[in-house]
Amino acid sequence: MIWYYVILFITTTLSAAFSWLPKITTLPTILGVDIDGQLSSGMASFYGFANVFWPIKDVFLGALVLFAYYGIKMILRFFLGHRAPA
Amino acid sequence: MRYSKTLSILAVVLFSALPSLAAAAPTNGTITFSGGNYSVFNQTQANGARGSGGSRMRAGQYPNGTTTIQLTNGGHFNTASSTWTAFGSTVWVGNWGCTAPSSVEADCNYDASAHTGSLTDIAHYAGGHPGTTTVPVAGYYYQLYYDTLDAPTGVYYEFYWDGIGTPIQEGAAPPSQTTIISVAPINNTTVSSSSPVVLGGYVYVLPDDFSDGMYLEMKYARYSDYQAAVASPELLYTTYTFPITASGFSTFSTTTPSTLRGGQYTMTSTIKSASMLNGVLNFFGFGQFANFGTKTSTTTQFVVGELSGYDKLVASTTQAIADYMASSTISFASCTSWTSFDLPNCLNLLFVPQAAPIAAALDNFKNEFLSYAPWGYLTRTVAILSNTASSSLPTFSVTFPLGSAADLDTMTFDMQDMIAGGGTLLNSIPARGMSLNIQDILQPLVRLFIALTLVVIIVRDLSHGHGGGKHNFHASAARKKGHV
Repeated sequence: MIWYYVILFITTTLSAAFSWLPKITTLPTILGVDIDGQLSSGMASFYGFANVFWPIKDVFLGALVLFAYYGIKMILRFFLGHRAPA
Repeated sequence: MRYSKTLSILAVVLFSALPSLAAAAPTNGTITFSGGNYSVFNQTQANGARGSGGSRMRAGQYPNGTTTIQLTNGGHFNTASSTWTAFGSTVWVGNWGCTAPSSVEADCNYDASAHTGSLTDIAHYAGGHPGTTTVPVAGYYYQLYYDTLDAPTGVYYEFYWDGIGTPIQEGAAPPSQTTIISVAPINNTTVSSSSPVVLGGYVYVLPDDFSDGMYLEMKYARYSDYQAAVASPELLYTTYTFPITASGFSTFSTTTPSTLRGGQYTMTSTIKSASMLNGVLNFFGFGQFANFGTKTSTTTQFVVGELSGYDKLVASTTQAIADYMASSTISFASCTSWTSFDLPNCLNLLFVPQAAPIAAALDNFKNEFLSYAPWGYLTRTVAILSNTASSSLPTFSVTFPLGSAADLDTMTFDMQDMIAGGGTLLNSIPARGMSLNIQDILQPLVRLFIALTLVVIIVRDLSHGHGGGKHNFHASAARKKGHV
């Protein structure tokens, strides 16, 4: 619960401090192109495609594993600095 | 730059794995078998083979005096003495009897010829628990085998009955959501401390909920072990996982490798879909937060052997912690309010993290601070990317003239039908001389290719395939010497 209050404190403080900024609920429409709608329907179509074409899922999972590797490397770099591998 | 991309992808993974808890509450249907000859068997009898001593029904219970299964349109029961079993151990012994209308017969055993037309045949179980009338309150599933008189076919109807409501027949009225129907050991029962304990579960997974890598997780811990000082409460649990390989009804059973120490145990059974985040959380010892991909969960308790006085003392003192762990509604009113003051809960609130409020706080963080411009655009993008709603592929039309400009023809292409239908058609064709289709054959190869590619990329990256890092000692030393 201490952690809950720590997170609550951070959330409240940051939210209050930046509350003058506009809140973003949708992506903007640029030059008549509804970016939010296009991206949403595009992702839905992508999931639909992945559901009917099985190799997509495997490729996607492979990409996730690769990014997880980069993420771990980034964490190591953060903690170890120049002593991190590669 | 490369890492900022990594961050956004990791954020996608994180947000997409937010937990979705579903309550388990099976709905009731009606069980009616039309025609045919049936017998009730223990599932452990292979392929519908008849057990010695007559027909058997698996995992039965007898809370209300009579179990009634109704057959219509010439349905017939082959019945003799029955043994009711729960996950391999016999718990009920009794006899099946039949009553038929219109005095067709007094005993419907092995008599199908008399049942024609639309007669109704009712079988009832007339046994009981030997030596006691205490009945556990839990649901079980039954298997009713289809026979051609004395020739078992191995075909059976499976249904679930909680002993009170109307049975649920598989296929006719499955549960409306993914649910854990029953677990073994049965809730609030005592199991022997002299032999290994049978662990098992009977679950139903909705086709829409099913995904590869789904599993039933059963973990148990002894209440008195809560006294131990461990880094994570998760370490107190012994966990078993049973892979769920298909949607629909599944049953799982195993025995513990050795006998369990006497005492009171708490057991949590959960249906989970595969989640990388769960693996990471478990790895770092934060298993109590590994609730991502949870479809449904139930907590039961059982006693091994007899409780000693010490066990009873410990169980009562640690019950508060167990309740606290299971609850997400205990609030700080336990510390601040006179009327609801509760010292154990108050102390727990201070030191033991609760998953639900922290998840809610993180959610607030996402919905408030992270939604402000300009970084709100990134949050919104991540939210869109992590949304798993899917839609059919679009159709498109091509219009072209046939000879003259006025004579037009339009052809419409349905991409969804072309790809999904083509895939279904392709998968329906097995390779010559075997049952494998093209997906079965190619998928392992594709996965092998992807895995090898990943290994090559990672090994190349680790072995300085890009010429070494800026701060790498050997590379920078070589650069200084002008060797690179």
